[in-house]
Amino acid sequence: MQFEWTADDKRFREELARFLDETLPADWDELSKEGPGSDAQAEFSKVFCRRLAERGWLTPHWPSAYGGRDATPWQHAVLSEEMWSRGEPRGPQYMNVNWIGPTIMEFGSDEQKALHLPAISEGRVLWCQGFSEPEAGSDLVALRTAAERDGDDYVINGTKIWTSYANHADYCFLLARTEPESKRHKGISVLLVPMNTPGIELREIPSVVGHRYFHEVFFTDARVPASCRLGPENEGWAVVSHALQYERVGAPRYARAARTLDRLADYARENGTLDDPTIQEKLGHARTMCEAARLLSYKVIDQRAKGLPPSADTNVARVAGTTVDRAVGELALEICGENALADGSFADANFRMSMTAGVAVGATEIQLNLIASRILRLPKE
Amino acid sequence: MRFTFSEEEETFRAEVREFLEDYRDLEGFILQGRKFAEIKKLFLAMGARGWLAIGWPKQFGGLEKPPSYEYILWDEMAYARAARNPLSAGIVAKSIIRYGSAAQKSEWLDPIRSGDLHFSLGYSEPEAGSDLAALRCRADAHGDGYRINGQKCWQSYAHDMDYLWLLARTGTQESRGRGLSLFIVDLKARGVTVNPLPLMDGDQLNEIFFDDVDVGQDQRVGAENGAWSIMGEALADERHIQFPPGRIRRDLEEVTAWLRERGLLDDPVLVHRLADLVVESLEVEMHGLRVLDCMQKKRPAIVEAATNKIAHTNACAAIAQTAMEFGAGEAMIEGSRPDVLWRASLWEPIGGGTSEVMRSLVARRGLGLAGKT
Amino acid sequence: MDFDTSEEQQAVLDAVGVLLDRHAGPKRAIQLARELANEDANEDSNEGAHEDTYDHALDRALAEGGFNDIARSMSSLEAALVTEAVAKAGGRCAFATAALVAANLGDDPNDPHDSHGPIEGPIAIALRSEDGPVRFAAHAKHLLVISNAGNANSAGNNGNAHLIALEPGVIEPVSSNFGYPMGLVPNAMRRGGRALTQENARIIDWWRLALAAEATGTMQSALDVTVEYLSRRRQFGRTIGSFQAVQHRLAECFVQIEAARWLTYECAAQGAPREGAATVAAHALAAAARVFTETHQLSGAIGFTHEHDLHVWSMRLHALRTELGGVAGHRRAIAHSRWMGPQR
Ligand SMILES: Cc1cc2nc3c(=O)[nH]c(=O)nc-3n(C[C@H](O)[C@H](O)[C@H](O)COP(=O)(O)OP(=O)(O)OC[C@H]3O[C@@H](n4cnc5c(N)ncnc54)[C@H](O)[C@@H]3O)c2cc1C
Ligand SMILES: Cc1cc2nc3c(=O)[nH]c(=O)nc-3n(C[C@H](O)[C@H](O)[C@H](O)COP(=O)(O)OP(=O)(O)OC[C@H]3O[C@@H](n4cnc5c(N)ncnc54)[C@H](O)[C@@H]3O)c2cc1C
Repeated sequence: MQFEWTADDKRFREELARFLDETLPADWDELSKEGPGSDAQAEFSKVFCRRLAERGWLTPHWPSAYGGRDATPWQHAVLSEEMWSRGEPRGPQYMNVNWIGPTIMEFGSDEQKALHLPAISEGRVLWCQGFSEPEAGSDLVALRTAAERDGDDYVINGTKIWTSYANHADYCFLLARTEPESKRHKGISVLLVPMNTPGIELREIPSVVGHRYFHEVFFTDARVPASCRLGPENEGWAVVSHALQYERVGAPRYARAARTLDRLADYARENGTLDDPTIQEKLGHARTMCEAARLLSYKVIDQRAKGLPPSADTNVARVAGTTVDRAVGELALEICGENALADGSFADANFRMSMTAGVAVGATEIQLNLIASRILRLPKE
Repeated sequence: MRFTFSEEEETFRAEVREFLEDYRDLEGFILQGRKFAEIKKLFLAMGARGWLAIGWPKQFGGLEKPPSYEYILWDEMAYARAARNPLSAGIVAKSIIRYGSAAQKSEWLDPIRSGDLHFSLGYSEPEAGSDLAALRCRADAHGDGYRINGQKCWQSYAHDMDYLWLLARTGTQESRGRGLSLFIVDLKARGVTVNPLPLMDGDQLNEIFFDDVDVGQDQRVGAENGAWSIMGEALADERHIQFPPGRIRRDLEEVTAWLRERGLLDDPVLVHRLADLVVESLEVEMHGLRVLDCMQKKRPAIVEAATNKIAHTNACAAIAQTAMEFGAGEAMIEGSRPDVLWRASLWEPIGGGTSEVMRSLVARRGLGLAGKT
Repeated sequence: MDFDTSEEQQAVLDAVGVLLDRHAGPKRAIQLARELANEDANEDSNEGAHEDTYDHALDRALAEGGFNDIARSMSSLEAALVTEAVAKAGGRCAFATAALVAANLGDDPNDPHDSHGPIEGPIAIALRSEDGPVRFAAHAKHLLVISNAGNANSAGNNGNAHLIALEPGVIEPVSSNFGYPMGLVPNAMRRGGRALTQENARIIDWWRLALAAEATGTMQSALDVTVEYLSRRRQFGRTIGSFQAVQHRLAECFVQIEAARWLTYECAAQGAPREGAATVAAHALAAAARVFTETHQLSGAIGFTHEHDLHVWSMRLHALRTELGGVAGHRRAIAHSRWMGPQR
């Protein structure tokens, strides 16, 4: 057991941090306020990711065969931490590089690889994830969107919901049922669907979280060639499970929370409240949660670095990560007081960004269920 | 809507307070297990004033006052830490009044009203805690009466009490709640063994074994297999006095004073915490009054009482926890105020229906959420 | 980074495990807590009734096994691992102080500049400003006194710690429900002694780490017995542990404990840096309150009895929580060192 970063990792972090300090525009805070899915950030990501790619830092964790540098999972973690703590300047593209690309490497045809991987590694494409449906949220395998085979095509009908970035996306990583009448995990396939396919319509779902945050995506006889299918027909669940392995820990929410917290301390200092012991106590408390989530995530990264299969430690890390994200979001409101109320204020932006933690990407209750059964081995009903 | 008591009620409250002056240091509310001899004297004095029967109908020697009087009485008793409402004058007497035979009424009600006879509650068993309807202790027909065999556990104060208010199975095991009957059992009867169950603080609960204990028909209260509804009604009668907010008020005052004496109130973190607790204790007060209001209007108060219990026991724990947390080493000493209050706070969310059972009630009956059990 | 124990670390844990199987465990903790000299007389009974409440045999075995010095022979990480294991087994001796605090007094016997030499244990540790019970004080040979903790302010912790030799019997044992033998150490007895090379603030760092390591092992056992019990206990025709309302609360406890564990290890590996030590103490001892509340609540009435082992661990959690300014103090110490220190 040891808890040291290697000299390489440290250097990587320092260089990355320096690069970010130099590259992010002066108005970055303002620009990034509405989250990775905002128009501003999606646009910015195209410029920024290209520059990252030039440095080899967009896909350093990819194998060299695909233009990566074979960076370790720990370096990947450093990358995620640095990006997330700055408000994710890669915008929606973090999904591409973290799991969409690697899944295409694993399951894609040569044609798919040639089409998608360079576009992703050069930072010139945006994706969205078409998983959830109105009747399939936590229970994803209840999904009903159908892709019916018609000669060399699939004809897609159904509705996806909550789809982040759908408005900017060039492609959708879509889950659909290719076997009619199939149930649960069976009969699902993954389709890589161009978003300009006729028959796809978007509706923005207005939300308190932010503008253009959520979308509904309607598929009405949307026709795509069968060559869009990733992996074997009806075996899509295996593809998704594999994809989600790459997302084991998810976004390092603790890194963003830690940075927000440092800023809150600055705010308190400037406003003369940092000397208030009750404020100190609250900041200190939140800090313990950041650190807790960090180490629990590292434990998962350690397993990944050792090539171990995913374990329920992932769920532990996620619970801690979402807990701290929300706690810091709420603390921001408390510390900033009425200044938090203005739309777009620091506290407001942070709070809104944090409030979906615990629901997005697998709700906390589901994580707790898995911890109870897989780690504590508590009996089923 | 009105949030004050009437003048007459306030006069009564003043009278209770004055009476309690003589029992200031009794501490019976949290230390009943160790102080019963003194508590009994208090009950006898209360009996002499008719206060143990304050809500009973006049025909049984009661004062027939509305629930607000019971509420005030037991709220002040709790605040003074004098004693908890005795089972005898509450659940036992009220059940006898409703369902007892004429003979039972004349046998039991007088000594209960005077504070002379006391009961322990014989419900729980090792395998029947939250799930009371699973209990196994049997009362089988035998001769003219019943023969009891089985075991009870967790009986508070049973070592000091005269009788047991026993819930036993007269029907089949499968009949669950519909196969239970209530009995009055002399704790000194042949075949009854009361063993202490030592608790981690040196206090005790008890377990009770029944080995061919014979009881007569006249010791069964209410219909055979009819216990479940009797218990329910008796419980409903007591909702406004089970968790009196006076306890919380007093806990908070004591903890605050204790911390102040030690010069700890200049810690702003602690002061904030205490301020939160003041708010919490006012919430508890309101929950208590809400239950009372239902009782006064003869409305069911199931959800209100469950809500009250959750809030009350949470507040109780939070106050004691604060004393422990900020009381440093001194709180570790056995018998120190934080130690005593904290340990007394621990059982509250478990005895008298656990918080989980209460939450399920609130979820199903209050919020209308579907669910089993 | 590597989250698995190395072979050497595993060997240490195995060795201490063997020793703890023999010398610790809930039964022994209960017996030590309750039985006085006349019953089950052991080798130390001639030292007076209260002596039996301290596990001298375990203390000696750990010392003889070289575990007290493991911070020096290996590193503080191994010392933290063993401390956690001792706590998990319900050991009733002042091991944490020996292994993580005393071992880091800067009193390295191999260091020619260091004049103190090894300190004979058991060692109790106390704040100068307080005057209540102190864990293990009635059995300690030495009392380590830290002055001027001032709760949080790292700037206020200058000056050196003091060591007071204790004559047997000078410290009164005090009756406590909180799972450890304790002695009453009035303020006046916390004066004097000889100054050590290590400054107060540094010792407080190690003390915080030691508390966290103890809390982690203690919480883990409290959770383990509860999970085990609720996996058996049936009500309403179901195992109580199968109710989701129960499962989620136990899972939340697990998340807290697991974080306490890794924070402890990292902090130990890094040599108890100021902010890290405050962080791990604040986290672990806040978690301790939650674990206490949930394990007791979910155990029902049996949890309060001596017939069930939960109390062996649960009650101790509150003792740990009261030390060194409590959770609020640890949290404020984080704020001080992270956001209010001179480096900012
Ligand atoms: C910010 C954000 C971005 C998102 N982006 C995308 C996206 O890009 N693409 C996409 O496909 N989806 C996306 N989602 C959807 C997300 O994956 C779902 O919200 C999530 O899976 C939960 O589903 P639901 O919202 O339908 O909640 P439900 O499944 O209806 O759950 C409601 C509540 O019930 C609880 N619950 C459900 N089942 C259980 C159970 N068995 N036990 C206990 N509690 C239970 C849940 O934990 C939750 O608290 C996004 C969501 C958010 C908030
Ligand atoms: C101080 C004290 C005094 C007492 N005095 C008496 C007395 O005088 N007479 C008497 O008869 N009894 C008495 N009891 C017993 C008391 O009524 C029982 O402890 C109580 O009913 C709970 O039962 P249990 O302890 O067996 O817990 P269990 O039923 O084993 O429950 C264990 C835990 O599981 C939870 N749980 C159970 N079912 C569910 C569910 N469906 N969903 C979610 N959670 C659940 C419970 O809430 C609890 O947290 C006393 C108890 C205490 C602590």
